[in-house]
Amino acid sequence: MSDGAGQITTHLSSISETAIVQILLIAAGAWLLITLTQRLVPALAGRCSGRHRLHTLALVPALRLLVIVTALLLILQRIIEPTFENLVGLLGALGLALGFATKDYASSLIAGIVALYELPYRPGDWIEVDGAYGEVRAIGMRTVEIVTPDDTVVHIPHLTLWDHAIFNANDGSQHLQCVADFYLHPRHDAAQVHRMLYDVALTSSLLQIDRPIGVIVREKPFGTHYRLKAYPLDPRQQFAFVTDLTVRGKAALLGSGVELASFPAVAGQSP
Amino acid sequence: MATPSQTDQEAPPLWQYVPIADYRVPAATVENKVKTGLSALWRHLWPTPAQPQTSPLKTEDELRLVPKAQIERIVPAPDWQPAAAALDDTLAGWLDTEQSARACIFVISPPHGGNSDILTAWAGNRGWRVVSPPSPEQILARDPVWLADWSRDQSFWVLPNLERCYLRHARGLDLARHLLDHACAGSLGRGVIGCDSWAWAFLRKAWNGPEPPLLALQSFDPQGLACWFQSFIAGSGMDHLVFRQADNGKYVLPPPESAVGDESVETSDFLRILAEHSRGIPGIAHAIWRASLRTAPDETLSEATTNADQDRRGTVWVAPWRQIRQTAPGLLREHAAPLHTLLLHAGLIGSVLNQLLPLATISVEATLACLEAAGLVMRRESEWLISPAGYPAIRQFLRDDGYLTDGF
Repeated sequence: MSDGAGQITTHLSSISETAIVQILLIAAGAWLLITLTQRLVPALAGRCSGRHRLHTLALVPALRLLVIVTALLLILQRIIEPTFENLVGLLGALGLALGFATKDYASSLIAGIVALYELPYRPGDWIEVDGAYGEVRAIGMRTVEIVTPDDTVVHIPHLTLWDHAIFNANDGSQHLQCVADFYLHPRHDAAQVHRMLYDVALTSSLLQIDRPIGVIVREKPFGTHYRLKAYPLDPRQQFAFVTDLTVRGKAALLGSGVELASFPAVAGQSP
Repeated sequence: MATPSQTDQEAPPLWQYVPIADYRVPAATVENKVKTGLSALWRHLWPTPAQPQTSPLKTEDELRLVPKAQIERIVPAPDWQPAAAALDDTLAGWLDTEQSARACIFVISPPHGGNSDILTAWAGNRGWRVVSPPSPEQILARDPVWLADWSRDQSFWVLPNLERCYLRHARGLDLARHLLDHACAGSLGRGVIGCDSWAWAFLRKAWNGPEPPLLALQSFDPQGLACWFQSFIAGSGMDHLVFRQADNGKYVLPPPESAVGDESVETSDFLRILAEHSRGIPGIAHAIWRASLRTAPDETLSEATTNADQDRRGTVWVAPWRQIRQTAPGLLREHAAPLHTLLLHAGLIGSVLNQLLPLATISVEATLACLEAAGLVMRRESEWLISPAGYPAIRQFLRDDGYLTDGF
């Protein structure tokens, strides 16, 4: 091993100025390519329709990994003779240095690579990590960038992947289930309300009609809780969709004479 | 029935009703699919005005639109009687049976397929009662009187537009569900129901009854379109006209008999593209055909009254496809819901459309005005509906955005 390290040191000391220029050019080229893909591919995805958008966005991290690996291989070729011993020696030394100096940073980088393989989140997915919910806008080297519904950008280190639950609402697809809640006074015809709420979802112009619609009814101490579950056409329309279901559902219920639950009123009637 | 001649066996009849499973949309060739797909993608990503072809036979500046009076003679409004006769032939077996297993037959048609006119004409020929659809207020009130009045009279009936009997509204489906239940159970007597294909696609999601027998007017292929367009001028004194493509001079409709056999005479692929683009829907192909005709300023397209006139063939120039193709310029996500709602109901008045759309930050009237200016929607009396020329692009736009589409 010490012979190998000695050889690497010899190689490193004998790197010519031309090789250094080449390495710098490769690094600059890789940086330029990564920047370009991070700007151009999302711009291209923005022009695509719903079903093609997610697939295009998913190319960004994969392209970046490809560029980084290619650049590293090209640089390694110029630093050392790429034999097995040399590579083991170099990567070992690099790993040791990184492990001590920037443990969390390195862990995030590795988790970032694992994320590309396991796909717990992709650009365009709606995820919740540690209480932060939003759309994945970009997957960086160290962090995943999400935008919350309040337009706040949250950077979450990939490191979180190791020990936190990640909730992915659409998991790389267009199918994101939304729930609209209705709380009704207990005295009503539940079967009629069930049918009515089903039709409220079925007639929404934002509905993804090929996905199932569900109405869950549960009795609570203060009244009856209805959960209307359906899928919007596009995950980005989820808030407009829930609003549409709520507004039209409420109008339909009130129009049929069904009373909404009222906490103080119900509580006031109880002994 | 007369024995079909050899020619009849080779060419299917122009108007033909088929079970819906046998309906065929004119197939696009692989070459045209790739070309159309790539150019659509390019226009979508980087919209630029179309580049004119170099040295055309007739430039756009040399031609003008055919005057309205003459276009009415060359491409008059469709006569749906032959289609009504074809429907009569198809239903002959069902009509002859006193107690048919099927109480009612459904005739489905894509937008601008002429379904309502054909069924009304057929009902007139047969002396059957035409049932008027309920008003939007009756639909939303789930008015039982409308259906009760109908079922009281057990004479044969035709409901030409089922799409007018429901609204995509929480209270707008029950009446149509009851109607379909009763009609299929036979409690309304025997009848024929016509329905728009988009409305039918939606109603199949809202009504879970068994699939009734469905018929559709077969789509027009390029040969069918050529026959149909020729039939407009045949015997009208305008049959001396020839139709040639403006940029290359190729014949769009079959050349005159004197030119048959001449190897230098070439035929255009305009009708093939038109059949693919219009999906073989007669009303759409008809509207695009009318819009594509041009004439030279010094050309007279009057009737031929003498043999000399017959010999001096007038030329109607057909604009090249790239000039008339309707793309979907500037269609935005917020346009999708109003367009889809209009298609599901085959047209709506503005106030009803407003009730069927989600809360919006933009005005529906303003959106419709923009779409009208782009030629994608049009007004008929007080109603808004999708224009025939805009339909193909809108259908593609909605399909790409994941909206429910018809199977036509």
